[in-house]
Order: sequence, then C-alpha cells, then structure tokens
Amino acid sequence: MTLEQTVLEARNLTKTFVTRSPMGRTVAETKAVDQVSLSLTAGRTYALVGESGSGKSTTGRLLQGLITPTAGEVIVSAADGSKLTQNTKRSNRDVQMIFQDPYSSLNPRRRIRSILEESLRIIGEKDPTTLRSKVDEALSAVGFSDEHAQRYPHEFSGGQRQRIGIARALVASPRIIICDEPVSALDVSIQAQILNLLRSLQADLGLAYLFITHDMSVVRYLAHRVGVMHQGKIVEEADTAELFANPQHDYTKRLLASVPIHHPSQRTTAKG
Amino acid sequence: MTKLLDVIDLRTSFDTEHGTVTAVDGVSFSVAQGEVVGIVGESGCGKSVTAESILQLLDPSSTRYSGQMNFDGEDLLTFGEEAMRRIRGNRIAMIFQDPMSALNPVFTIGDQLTEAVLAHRKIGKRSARSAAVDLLDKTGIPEPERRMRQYPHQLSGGQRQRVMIAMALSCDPELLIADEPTTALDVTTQAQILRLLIELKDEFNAGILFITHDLGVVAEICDRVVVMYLGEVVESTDVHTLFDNPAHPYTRGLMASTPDVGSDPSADLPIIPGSVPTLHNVPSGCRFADRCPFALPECRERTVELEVLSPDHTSRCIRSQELIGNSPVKDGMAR
Repeated sequence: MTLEQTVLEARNLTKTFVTRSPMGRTVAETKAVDQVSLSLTAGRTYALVGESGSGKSTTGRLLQGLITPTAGEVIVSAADGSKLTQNTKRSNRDVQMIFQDPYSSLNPRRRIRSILEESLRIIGEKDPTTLRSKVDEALSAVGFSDEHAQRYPHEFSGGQRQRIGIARALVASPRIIICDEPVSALDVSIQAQILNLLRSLQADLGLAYLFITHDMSVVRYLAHRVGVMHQGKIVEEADTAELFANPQHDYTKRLLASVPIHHPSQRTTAKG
Repeated sequence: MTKLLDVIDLRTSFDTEHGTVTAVDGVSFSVAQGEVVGIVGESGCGKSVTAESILQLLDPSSTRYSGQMNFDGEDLLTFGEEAMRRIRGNRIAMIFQDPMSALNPVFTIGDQLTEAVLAHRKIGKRSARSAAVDLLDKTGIPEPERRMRQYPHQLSGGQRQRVMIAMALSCDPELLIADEPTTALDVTTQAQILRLLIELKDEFNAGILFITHDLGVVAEICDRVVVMYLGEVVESTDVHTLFDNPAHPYTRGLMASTPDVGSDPSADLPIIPGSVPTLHNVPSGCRFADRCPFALPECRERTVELEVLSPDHTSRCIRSQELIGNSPVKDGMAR
C-alpha cells in the first residue's frame, strides 16, 4: 500500500438532529455537524479535537455509517481504487470503530471468540475455518492467545478490554479505524500501552486512523494532522506541529492554553 | 502553617464475600491551612477510599477504620455518627467527580443551594436565598439570579461543578476534599475550575485535599503530593521536589508514561508493564515489584518501609537513594 493514499473522504457532511414534541411537531433543530469536509490517508492519523458537544463523536459515527448524514457524503476508496458509497457491506468492512468505554462496549454474556466472530459474520463471513483463523490472527495482533478467546469480558481489566475492542475492529481487516476517545477512560500507564499498540498496528498494517479526543498531549504524540471542531464546524485544520506552533483560530488558542502543564515551574495560575 | 488535618496510620478495611480486604493500609499525611495537598495514583490505589474515610462516608456495616485522623486537635475516628454529621459539609466539605449525579434533578439550583445554606447557618429563608445567590456569583456563574430558577439539566457540566463548589462553600469549610472534580470536564472548563479553586482557597484560607490521577493537574495546583499505590503511600513530598527528583519507580513511571511536549513522536511511550493487582492479590514484599524495572530479588522478600530521604521527602523503595537526583525520568523505564 502506498502512503499518502486517500482512503476516505467526507464532503460537506451535515447532521441535523430534530427534537419533536410528543405530538410530532418539530420543537428544535440542532446542527450537530455542519458542512464538515476531511480526508483520511493510509498510514496516517487525523485527530479530531474539541470540547464535548462540538460534534466530534457525531462526525465519527457519520464516517463509520452508524448514522446517516442529513446532507453531504462519505466516500471510501477500496484497495483496488474503486470508490464506494457508504453503508455497503464493503464499506462497513473497511471502516471499523473503537469505543471509549471498554466496559460497556463488549457483550458481558459472550465469550471473546464469539464477540470477534460476530464482527465477521456481519460482513458475510460464514466459513468456520476462516472465522477461526481470522479471530486468532486479530487476537495475536493485540497480544492475546487462544486461551484468552475462551474467556468472558469481566475476566479482563480495562486496558485488556480495550485491546479486545481493538482486536474486534481489526478482525474484519479494515483500512480505516475510527477511534472515539479510546484511552480517555484508562489510567496513564495503561493509556501508554494502548497508544503504543495503536501506533505499531498502524505501522504494520498501514491503517488510517480518525482519532477523536480532547487530550492535546495525546494529539501531539500520535496525530499527523489535526482538525479542531467547535459548534459543529471544523474551525481550523493543520499538520500537528504547525497547529501547536502557530494556532490561528481563537478557539484553538484557548484549547492549547488550557492544556495542563507538565512541571510546577510553568505555573501561571497559582502561587508556586 | 497550622496543621488542619493530620492523618496517622489510617487503615480502612472492607468485609467482602471473599474475605477482608484492606483498601487503605497505613496511610499518613497532613493538610495545613491554605495548603493544597494532592493524592495521586491510578484507579484501585485507594485514593478515593482515603478521601471517603476522612468523612466516614463508607457503608458502616462492612467498613472498619483504624489509626488516627486529627482534625483541629480532635480524632475524627472517635466521633460518633451524630458528631460526624456536624463535621460533614460544615467544617469539612466534599466535591465529587460527577456533578450531575450529585445534584437532585427535580429541584432547582436555588432550592438545593438554599437548603444547603439553611442546613448549616441559623438564618431565615430569605437571607439564605440571597446568600445562595452570592455564593453562585462568587464561583463566577453568569446571571446567578436566573441560574437559581433553573434545573441541573439546564446547566453545562462546568456550571454544575461550580454549583457543587458553591454548595461546598456554603458553610465556609476549613477543609475541602475534592475527588477528581475536573476529570469529567473539558480541558478549557477544567482550567477555569482549577483557577476558581485556587482563588477561593486564598480567599477563605481553607485547606484542600485534591484527589486526582492527572499529574498535569497536580503540577498546576498542588503544594504537596502524596503518591499512592495499592493502598500504601509510596512517595510524599512537596510538588517541586516530586517533579524534579522523583524517588519512587512508580512516580517515575507515571511521569514517563504521560505523553508531553518532550515525548518523541517517533518512539514508543515508556510504559508501566501490567496493571494494578486487585486487593485480593496483594503481592508480598514491595507491592510494586512485579511492575518495576528496578526491582531486585530482595524487593520481594521483605516489607519495604517508607524511607525518609530529606525532612520533607519520603519514599517506599530500597533503591530510592540511587534513583533520586539520578538519571532523567525517562531513562530505565520499560519500552
């Protein structure tokens, strides 16, 4: 796979949520995502940052096809170069998702193997031998063995569950993974383990990531390009180093100024 | 500075189906007037249980405390429920991580805040209400009069946390316990809330015990820091010493694994291997040894005591003397 290849393109994505009264009358319309355009590149990470309510998670869901846009389109480029519109079996296979909460995103009553196999069944894989080998492959990519596949989610810690969430995304051999705050719920030492894993998978498999986060330190470490969302719009987009060195939009400046310091000597708010 | 709270050898144990576990195991620290003391550690390290033990908020039927908690010269552990009730919210107030679940959704902000003021001060309803408006105003909420008539769901997360702070301040507490008060908030809101806490601390000269897992927040507002691991204090010192000269491998690991400006984007982040064991599987010897890149065979053979490195710096590690002031933090951690 060549680098710099655009694998997903969103054009003028808009999502309006309508609040209705019990009688069905429209009470309010909220534009959660407003004319968002962005593209994801193979082997690269695009970080979407912004405060809660800015529309970054909704954008992630639109890109995956979990919800349909009010206007605009998402185009996934297949490996053979053909363009796919969204919500076909092929595009669902190509775009996978990792969620924030590793506790609520795994079915507690299913064994790990069965959770992972379901991802494959959804995209039409039926052959038991293929199912088995693909699941084994995905689990070993995140450092688990066959023995782990027989266990239930509650037998794992938070960090381990997030690795299972990553394996579930990998099992369909996607080219794009939407990571919605995948480390926000984890302790720092575990967060580092997961970030390292995501990076090595990207290097090995040429995955494109959309990384949704509010943590600017993680962005700086992981992302190649950053889009800053504010009230449903991308208000600024730049390469990571450029954004940190030279923020243009007021909101970006405010965001960067709010990042916690790394040493007490950098204090401005409090007496030392 | 006068010692406001002096916790000595606190032990908090729970009876569970699988036997007794000790979540806080021999913890000592103190908070002075006008001082911000941080308790840092990952989930499962006992920092929230420590905070809840001070106010004895844990289920009395299954929890046992021992040790001493001297507050203004009296040991809180000798207090009965009735006496504790006069301390809680009155002289020691607490704010929590999730302001939504701590507010009652069916009463207005004004009702709840006025009730808090009435509970602690002997004043009439009308003056309680105007005191409530003043408190809201102090926390920097715009249009406090209008907010008084609103319900919790009509406020943003940051505004709700301001309401919780206003409520905590309603009785001029001498000590404020803040349990991860900014963890659920956006980074811009977090910065505002931290600034507010510092301003209010200076104005009221209260002590603050700040529970957090975020070293950035510690660097931002704490004067002194207590690092906990699996129920024990592993390091304790002033904030500058902690960041300049961390002596315990766990502290060093936490610092190294936090991505920051200095992290090399082309290299893997240093990690702390494994995860915090459960309280049912507390390792013998040093509790951190299994995850520690500096561990020696003898670390697992005997209990490691807190060692005094300087008058104001203690660390629970037999190799502290070697580590302190030696090698940059990022060296020697597992990759």
